[in-house]
Amino acid sequence: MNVKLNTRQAADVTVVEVSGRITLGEGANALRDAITTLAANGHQKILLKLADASYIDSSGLGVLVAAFASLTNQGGQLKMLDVMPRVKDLLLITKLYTVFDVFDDEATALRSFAPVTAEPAVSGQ
Amino acid sequence: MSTRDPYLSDESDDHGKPTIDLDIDSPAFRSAELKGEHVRVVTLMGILGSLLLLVLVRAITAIAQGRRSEVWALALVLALAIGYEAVWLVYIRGAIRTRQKVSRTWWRNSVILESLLPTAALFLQIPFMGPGRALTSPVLFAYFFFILLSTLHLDPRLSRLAGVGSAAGYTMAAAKAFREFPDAVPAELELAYAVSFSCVICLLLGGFVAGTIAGQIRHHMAAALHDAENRAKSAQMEHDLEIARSIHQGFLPETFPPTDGFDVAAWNQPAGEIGWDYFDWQRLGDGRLAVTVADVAGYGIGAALCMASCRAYARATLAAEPELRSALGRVNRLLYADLPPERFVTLAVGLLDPDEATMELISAGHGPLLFYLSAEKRFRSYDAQGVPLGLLPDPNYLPHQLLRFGPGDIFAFFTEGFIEWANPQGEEFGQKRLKEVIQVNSHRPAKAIIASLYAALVEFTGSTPQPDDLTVVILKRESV
Repeated sequence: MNVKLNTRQAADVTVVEVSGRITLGEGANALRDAITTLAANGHQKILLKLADASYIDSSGLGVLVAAFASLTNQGGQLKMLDVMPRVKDLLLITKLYTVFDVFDDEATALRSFAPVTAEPAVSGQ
Repeated sequence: MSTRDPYLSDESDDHGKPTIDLDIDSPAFRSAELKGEHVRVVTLMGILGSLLLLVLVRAITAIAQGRRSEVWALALVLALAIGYEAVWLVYIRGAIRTRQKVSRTWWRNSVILESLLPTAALFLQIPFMGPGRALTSPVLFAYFFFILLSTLHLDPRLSRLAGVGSAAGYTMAAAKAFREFPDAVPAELELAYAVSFSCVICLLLGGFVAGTIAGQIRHHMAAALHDAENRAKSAQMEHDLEIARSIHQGFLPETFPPTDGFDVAAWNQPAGEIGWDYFDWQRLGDGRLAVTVADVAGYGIGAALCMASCRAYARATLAAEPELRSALGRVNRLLYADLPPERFVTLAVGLLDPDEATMELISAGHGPLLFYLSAEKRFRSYDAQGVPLGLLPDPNYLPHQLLRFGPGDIFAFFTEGFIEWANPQGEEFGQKRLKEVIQVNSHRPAKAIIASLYAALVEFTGSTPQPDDLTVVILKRESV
């Protein structure tokens, strides 16, 4: 498989460690399914650790944004950790860096998760 | 709508390949089945007709010789059989004409009924010929005719049923003969029983052999029809793709309008059968030239359809809304309503004012946007004013930026295919190389700059296939 996902709990935050390529097909589908399943099982705080995600294409980006919007609409939170330079560049060019919360340190990322509320609004920049 | 292959079952063989389904639900296969049945029934009627003729000749000969003939009952059975097959033939012809499906029950009933015909003939022969002659008469061969012809049903189950039905019918006739004429059995009782038993076994085996043959014929015919249908589907898909490709290419302007003081050129090369990038231009009412470049997320036909939608919205909005920030917001709202959740479009628009040599520039997540300043021999890069179109309902784009062109300055819109195409070692072409090529060729016409870019890209990437669409638009202010 192009992408590997490893899930663990850190208090009430679910950390999903992503490695491989998040691209059209297997990779993007696997990530989408994983986040959808977690959300359906009540995991409202999800931190994607992307240190080993070597490449992400537009399909992968679409999955991330759709997951972010979906989870936020349900009152949840999706954040990112340890994004590789290549992926960081992509987020910068597309200005998606302003939508996602991206962290370099796990402890800081975990502390940033607010208590889950009922129906927060989805807002852009 | 079901996408299950009608020829393949859910099971696999020892090599992991799906096996041919015994209940194939394909119009082509049903047609083949019915035509096979038509041939079988016509052949059977021919055989039965010949036998009837033979029997009648024997009867007439016997009468002519003043002997009594006992074959009238057999002639009646043959005539009834021919009548039944004629009715069945009419039904089959109707099914062929109306492309109707014949149920499994009808097929089974037909096989069972046909198996009973030789049995009926045996029952009629036994009182006249005695069990010994009747059970080993040529009527026995009639069973094997029916079993052999059952292979044309193309269904191993029906052939096996024919064998079982024939064996059961023969057994009933033999049981009747031995019970009603015990004294007629020769001294070698065991031999008589053994011969009858052997006939029953041969009939059963015949049915199973015919079933194997029918299965093989079915398998090969289904495979051939499956291949033919797949080829037809591929041809249709290729035809549809060709139409979509020509529509996509039709969207892309072949030339840019003459623009005083500026040399404008553009180029696109799809990565696959159909592209999902586009560039466009339109002359606005105030004389400015709107240049648009967009890249749809994803690949293939879905992305191409989104591209068409985006192009239409952008054209209509830019013609009506001169303020770029408002225009971008409007296009975003339209696309957000249309696009599925994971689909988005990066888009950049430049409004070129040739008289003022300025350009208003706005980008929704699109880059790279490179501005080469000829006098300073350096590049200035521009960031997007917000996220790609279609992702968020109200992204609140920042205002546009204003560029001023000096003599020889070049602005280049690219889609990311130019950056991301990597060589066999995995190294991407990158922005740095893009800039180097533009700078080295900055003195040349816009078209020549584009040609140099592509040549450099192909030389760098070597044998690796093009992973994404390539789109570039160059606006160069002519040197005074």
